[in-house]
Formats: sequence, structure tokens, C-alpha cells
Amino acid sequence: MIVAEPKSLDEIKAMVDGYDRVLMVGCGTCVEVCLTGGERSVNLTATALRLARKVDGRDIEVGEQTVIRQCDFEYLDEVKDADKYEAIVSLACGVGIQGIARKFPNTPIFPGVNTTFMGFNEEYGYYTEMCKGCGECILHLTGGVCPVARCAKSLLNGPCGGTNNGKCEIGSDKDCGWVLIYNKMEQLGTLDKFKEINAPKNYGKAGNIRSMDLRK
Amino acid sequence: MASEATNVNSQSEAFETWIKDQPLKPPCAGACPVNADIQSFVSLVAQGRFKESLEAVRERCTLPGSLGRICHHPCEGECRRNDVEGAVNIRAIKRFASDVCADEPVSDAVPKTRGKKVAIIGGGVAGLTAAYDLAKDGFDVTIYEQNDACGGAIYTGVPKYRLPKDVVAQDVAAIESLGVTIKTNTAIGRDVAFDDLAKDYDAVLIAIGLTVSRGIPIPGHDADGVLLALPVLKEANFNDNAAIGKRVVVIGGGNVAFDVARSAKRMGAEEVSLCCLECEDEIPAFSWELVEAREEGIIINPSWGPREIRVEDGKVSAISFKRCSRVFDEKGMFNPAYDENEILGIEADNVVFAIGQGADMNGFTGTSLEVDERGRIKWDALTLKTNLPNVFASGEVVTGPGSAVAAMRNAHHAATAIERFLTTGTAGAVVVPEPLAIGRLPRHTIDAIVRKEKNHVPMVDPAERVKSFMEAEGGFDIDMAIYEAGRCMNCGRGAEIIAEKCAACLTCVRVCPFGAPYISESRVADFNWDSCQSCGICAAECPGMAIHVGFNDDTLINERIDAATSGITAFGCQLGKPEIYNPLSKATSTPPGLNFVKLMCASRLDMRHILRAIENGVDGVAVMACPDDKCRYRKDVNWAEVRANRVKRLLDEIGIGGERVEFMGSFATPEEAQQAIGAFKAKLAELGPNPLNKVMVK
Ligand SMILES: Cc1cc2nc3c(=O)[nH]c(=O)nc-3n(C[C@H](O)[C@H](O)[C@H](O)COP(=O)(O)OP(=O)(O)OC[C@H]3O[C@@H](n4cnc5c(N)ncnc54)[C@H](O)[C@@H]3O)c2cc1C
Ligand code: SF4
Ligand code: SF4
Ligand code: SF4
Ligand code: SF4
Repeated sequence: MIVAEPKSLDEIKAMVDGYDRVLMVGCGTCVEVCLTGGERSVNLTATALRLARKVDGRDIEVGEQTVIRQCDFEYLDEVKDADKYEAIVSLACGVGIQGIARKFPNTPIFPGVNTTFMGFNEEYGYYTEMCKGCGECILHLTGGVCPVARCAKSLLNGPCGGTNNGKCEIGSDKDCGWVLIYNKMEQLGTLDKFKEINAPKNYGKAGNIRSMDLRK
Repeated sequence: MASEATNVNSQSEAFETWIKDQPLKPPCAGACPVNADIQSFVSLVAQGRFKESLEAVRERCTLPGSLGRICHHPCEGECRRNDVEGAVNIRAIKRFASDVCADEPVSDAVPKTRGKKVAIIGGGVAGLTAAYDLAKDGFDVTIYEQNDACGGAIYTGVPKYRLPKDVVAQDVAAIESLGVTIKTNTAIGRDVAFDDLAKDYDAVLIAIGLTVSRGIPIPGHDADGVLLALPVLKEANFNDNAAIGKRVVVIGGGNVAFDVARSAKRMGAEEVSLCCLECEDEIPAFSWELVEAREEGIIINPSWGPREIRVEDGKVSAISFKRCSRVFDEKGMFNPAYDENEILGIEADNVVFAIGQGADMNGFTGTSLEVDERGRIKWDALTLKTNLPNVFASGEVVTGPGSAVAAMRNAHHAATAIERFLTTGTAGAVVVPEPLAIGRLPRHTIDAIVRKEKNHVPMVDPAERVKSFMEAEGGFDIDMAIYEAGRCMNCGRGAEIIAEKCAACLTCVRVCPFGAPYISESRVADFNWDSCQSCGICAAECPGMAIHVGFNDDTLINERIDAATSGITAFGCQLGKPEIYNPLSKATSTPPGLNFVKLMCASRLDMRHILRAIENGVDGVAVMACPDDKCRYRKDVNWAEVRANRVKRLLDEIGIGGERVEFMGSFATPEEAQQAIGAFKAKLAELGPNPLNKVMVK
């Protein structure tokens, strides 16, 4: 799922500084699952914003809504009364934020979260990045561990000289992706393949302005 | 500022509607013959709200002090805590609620709005219960009782060492206070004619119980010194100088026989034997009666049938028994068989028959009330009607012998029948659906539940208690009662899913200490009520706000938060003690300027609750959570503290300041709580008013 982290209240407050009526819209899918953009987050953030403005002596009206997904127009149809507000703060990932921006072309849209990565839901409140969306998956060659996402340098052949007792040189709290790959392949009995050199990837596939058309 | 400590349970309309729609009820209430709302009255005691608890008891169990002593408490047999370390001591909690409120003023009379009069013949358990219901319904009720006071068998029969008479009087007074007229020393048939009554009243209820003891016509049965159970018990109850022979043999194995035997001991008998047909395992009396009787030195002789009473100079001198080889035949019918070769002889000054009671129908002979060939009232168990259109019957006179609470159940039905008859003009079947009980605790949930050993009531030492008719069993003191009530797990009033809001994120599954939530086949969370303990941890974390906690619903909590717009709002466990308990007024009060919002568990506290209080204008929020070894919910995380810290950070960002929220843990004494709150107040005074307010209210 897509993971996002809350933006600081200060940032949100600064963004909507010029407005007195804003609508805060949550997304009930990925960002709700990572406890950042669901109905509860909308309510807490909206309340906090309202109180912060009150402290400044300027009231602000904050509407609250949460839709199933902000990355689908049909679900965005559920956003009601947007025209009653001067601006929209979206607590969806960047995709959803842009979705709502397209849905309401005349309303300024502000992001209420920072979209961070595609991650795994490890346990309550803890998520780890697993995939970079490189467009050319090689997990079959690397024991089911992604070197692009889980090696700090995205090395296709590793580890590098910075590997340190299973940890990455960028920090002792980070596993070395290539040690993970080695261990997994050892477990699978495919270490012979470990020595094979992985060919360079076509990073063009990870480039911008990507789309997919399955309509044919 | 309204700062009444409010109940976490059945006080809001929303809650009432919700709970009514819940198909599953706790098994204790299902096992209780009157389906008392045990959970509520127990929970109210846990919160120190004794008067309200007593009222909740009385609603279904109309004689709380008496039944708090003598009820055979089938509820406890079904309490789910049995699978942990022992049932909640429900009966003792009920007794406590009654005892602690003994000096409270009785209720005001209920206005007689229905314009109809009901006569009740017999002021025993059934009569009093029907009177309670009907008076509460606004009927004009008169009880006719032949004795000098009401109570019936629990007044005249049950011995004082189990049930002091002033307790019965207290229970009766509470019913009388509703505006019920009680005419004592008035026997129907002797002082008032039954047919007149049936004419003068819109409806009549016959609840005359079983007041005549039976004997067995064995040789010698009419000798001097042969006695019957009920007169012996009456003597023991009302004659302070009651005496009996040195050697007493009681015939019978029911509770009445045990009452007689144990009373005889207290009346001065040196050697008391109790002989019954049944073998040890079949003895019908309650198991604890056997234990307590043996402790008091009573010899129990099971499997003996009375054969002959030896009489010397017209007086009993001994009795012989023959071996009873079986009581019930293959078909389970009462059909004793004897072995005449095996004989037991016991010397005796008195023999007491305690083998059963029958109804005294003398007052009704020759009236329009029809009886069957065996002299029993012709009665329909469904409509509770007799042959006469406006005459109903209830209690043991029609159901046969049983427990007090069973008589009470039947009387509730009778009151319903009469109410319906007086409202619609026709009688109908009273059908009471059995509540569907939630299941037993699953193993993984039992393992997760914090052990809290059961509190037992103290008993007077056997050697001491047989010396007089002083009450043998003690009651709980306040701390014991509150502790014991806190053991109730609030079965079946837990988390409920609002499916359309659930994102199946698994948060609830992961934070629940008891393994109650799961993702169902329809791919949303659902909750296993066999496991849920209503703590509310999940509801305060759910990102979709998709969880409703019955006992602790948001609407209710918000109402309480909104009670304060200044001062301090405190959140804490319903079992915490920030309030000052005043033993004299038997009421609890919170320190002035403190709005204490009780939660099922402090872990129910939602960040939103704290923000709401702040937004309402309070100057500070205190969060109180029991220490982990006191918390009745096993939790690896102190959620109240975690959430308090999150809000502190948020308030810093907001510009209100995190110092306005203080996590305080919990307190051993109200004084400690007051001190901590005092210090917090001082700190808040320094901080000045909540920036959202202009004036700081001291
Ligand atoms: C010795 C003994 C011990 C017991 N112990 C227990 C126990 O420990 N736990 C338990 O649950 N149950 C116990 N019971 C059973 C319990 O007391 C009965 O189930 C209950 O009292 C039945 O209620 P009732 O209203 O049907 O009859 P009763 O309580 O007997 O009431 C009938 C009333 O009608 C009155 N009456 C009768 N005829 C007339 C008339 N013609 N005019 C006016 N008034 C009349 C009587 O005086 C009496 O007050 C015990 C019973 C006895 C006898
Ligand atoms: S808008 Fe973003 S967070 Fe919401 S469902 Fe779509 S991808 Fe997930
Ligand atoms: S724990 Fe409480 S609610 Fe559950 S069965 Fe026992 S008394 Fe009833
Ligand atoms: S925490 Fe809420 S949204 Fe997540 S699975 Fe449970 S009920 Fe559904
Ligand atoms: S209320 Fe408590 S026990 Fe019930 S499901 Fe939620 S976390 Fe579990």
C-alpha cells in the first residue's frame, strides 16, 4: 500500500493562511490503513487546525469528509458541498490529492500529508518501504528481496564495501538489503545464482509521465 | 459546572436502544430467573454508585436485602468468570448495595394514574413482587396478609441466622413506600370474604404460598414431641425463648429440613440428626447447606426412610428408619424402595417432619374459586388466570415449591398479565423470551485476562454461630464490594463494527489484548463477543472510526465531556477513585471544578476526547490510568499515556501548550488524588487561562 506521513500542523496552517473556510478530505484506503488519512486523522487534523486558528484569534471553518478512494472520480463524486469552501486540504496520497485537484479545478488544493513510499504493514503503526515501482521487477533473481528499494544505493549487484555485520553503512538500524538477499538465497539453496551478475536495468521504465492502457 | 460522576452504563437513551437491539446478553442475566440486569448493578457498585445500583437491583429483584442473603444465585453458576478463577460474587454485591443504603430514605409514592384497584392476597415473595410492579405501573394496590408483617416464607420460615427480620422489613418498607397499602393481620376467608374482594377490586392476585407443613402417618406420628417444620421455624423466629428437646431428629433432606436442624441446634438441642431418603449425592438441599450443617455438628444420615416412632408415656422416645435403597425409579418418578432388614434407631426427644408444604385453601372453600380434585387452584400457567375473569394466581401456591427468586419471576409474569388485563380487558399468555447468552470465554481470552481472586464473604465461626440466632454470614465492606464488582467483565456489551466504515486495516486485530476482533469473510472487521471485554482500546485507535463500544459509546462520553467548559476535565477508569467517597451520605462527589469523565478503562480514551474538552474551554485535562498491576485489562501498552502524550505534542503545535494535559496515573486514596489535582490546578493557574477562553475560572 501507499504510505504517507502527516504534515506538521504549522505547515498546513501556513498553507491555508489566506482562507477562512476549508474542506478537509480523507481517503479511506491506503492512507487510512497506515493511520494517516482516514476519518480519525481528518477529525484530529481539522480540530487541531481550528484550535490553532482560534489561538491566533482568527476562526476558521473546517469541513470534514472521507471518501473510499481519492484516486477515482466516482468516489470523488461523494465529496459534497465543495463549492461552499474556499480551499481543500486532502489527506490522501499524492495521487489522490491530484485526483481531487482535477475534480475541483477551480478550488485551491493543499496536501495534508507527505506521501512517502510503497510499504509493508509490519505491525500496528509500523511500515517499511518495499518497492520503488521501477517498472522491471527482478524479485525472482534476488530471493524475493528488492535491491532497488532495500539497498541504500539500489545496487543490482551487492553488497557494497559498506556492509557491516548485516547492517547498512548509512545507519546501524538499517538492514543491508544485500545481506538479506544473500541469506534468503542461502535458505532457498540458490546461492550459486547469487554469483551471477544481474544485468543493468532499464531505468527508463522508472521514468516520468508513465501510464498504462489495458483497454485494447 | 455539572460535575456529577456519571455512569458508564445504561444511562443514555442511545445506549438503551442499542442494548435492546443486541441479541446476546451476558449469561448471568440469562441464568437469573428474573433476568436482573446484573452487569449494570455490579458495575454501579464498582463505580461507588450504590444507591443507583440498589435501584437497578430492585427493578427485577424486588427484595434486594433478603435475596442478597438467601438467593441460591444461579447467576453465579453461569458467570463467565468461572472459567478464569471464580464467579463474580453477585449475591454478596447485591446484599452490599442493600446494606449500604439501609438508612437511605425510601422512594416517593408513585402516582396512581391508572384508576384501577388490585387486591393481592398474601404478602409473601410473589405478592410483594407483583405489588411492586403494579404500583410502579400506577395501579392502586392493596396487599392482604394474615401475618403481622409481610414477607411470607422468608419472614416466618427462613431462620434469623440466615435472614434477620429487620432486613425483610426494610425490603417490605421500600415496596410499601411506592404507595402500596398493606393490611396485615387480615386473613382472606377469616376477616374478609374472597368473593367480596373479587367484586370490589378490578383484579385480584392470589399469592398465598405453601404455608402448611406435612407429616407422614407412620406409627407414633401423633405422639407428644412430634413436630412439623414450619411451626418449629416460626417458634424459632418469633419466640426469643424458643426451646426444643436435647435430642432432635429431623426427617427430610430439603432446605427446610436443614433450616430446622440448624435452628434446633441454636434452640439448645445437643444432638441433632437429619435423616432423608436420598443418598448423599441426591440430597436436594443446596450443597453449602450440607457443609455448614456439618460444620455445626449436625449428623446427616442419608438413605433412610422413617419406619416407626417409639412412644413412651405418650411421648416420643426414639425413631427407627429402614434403609432406602432408591428414591426414584427407572422412569425418574418418586418411588422409594426399602430394605427392611437394615434398620437405624435413634433416641429422640423430638422428631420434626420437614418433608414438604401444602397450600392452606381453607379461606377459599365454598367460594366461586374453582379447585381441582386434589384441592389445587385451577390455573393456567400461561395467562396466570384462575376460573374467575379477574382473578389471577401466582407463586408457590400454583407453581409448587421452589426458590424465592422463582416465585419472583412468576410474580413478574402475573403483574404483566394483570396489567394487560386491566389495560385491554382481556387476559393473554405472558410469553417472556429467554435471552440468548453469549458463549463461554475462549481459551486464548482466558489466558489474557488478568487474574483477580474472588472475594468471599466472611462466615462466623461454627462454634460461635450455633450459640444464637445471630446472622452467620457477613457482608462486604466498601473496598471488598468495589473490588469484587470490578471483577465483572461486562460480557457482551463490547465492540461492534460499523461495516461500511471499516478499511480492514487490522489495527483493531492488532491492538486488542483479548483476541476479539478478526477480519470476517465479508472482509471487514468483526468482533467475537465471547472474547471482547469492552475495554475500548480498539475504538480509540480505529482510523475509520468504525467501532462502536456498547458500554462506552462516544455519544455518551461526549455528553460527559461537554458537561464542563472550565476548570479541569479528568478522564479515567470507572474504577479509579479521584472522587471523594463520603461514607456518611453513601454518595460520591468529585472535587469542585473537576469534571470526571469515567471510562470503562482509561484505554478507551481517544485523542479526540481530550481535544474536545480543550475546545470546550477547560483549562487542563488530567488523564488517570490505573497502574498495570491494577488494570483489569491486560495491556502491553499504557494507551492512556500514549494518547495523552500524542495530544500534548499536538497542543504544542496548536499553540495551546502540551502542559495543559497531564498524565497522572492513578491514586490509592482520594486524598492523593486531590493533592495531585491541587498541584495541577496550581500549575494551570500559573499558565493562565486556556487561550481559547478569555477569563480563567478558578
Ligand atoms: C423454611 C424455608 C426456607 C426457605 N429458604 C429459601 C432459601 O434459602 N432461598 C430461596 O430462594 N428460597 C427459600 N425458600 C422458598 C421461598 O421462601 C419461597 O419460594 C417463597 O417464599 C414463595 O413465595 P410465595 O409468595 O409464593 O409464598 P410465601 O412467601 O409463602 O407467601 C405467602 C403469603 O401468603 C399469606 N397468606 C396465606 N394465606 C392467606 C390468606 N388466606 N389470607 C391472607 N394471607 C395469606 C402467608 O401468610 C404468606 O405471607 C424457603 C422456604 C421455606 C419455607
Ligand atoms: S488516493 Fe492514494 S491513498 Fe487513497 S486509495 Fe488512492 S492510492 Fe491509496
Ligand atoms: S463477568 Fe459480569 S457480565 Fe460476565 S457473566 Fe459474570 S457477572 Fe455477568
Ligand atoms: S481498526 Fe477499524 S478500520 Fe481497521 S479493521 Fe478494525 S474496524 Fe476496520
Ligand atoms: S473493546 Fe477491547 S476487548 Fe473488545 S475488541 Fe476492542 S480492544 Fe478487544
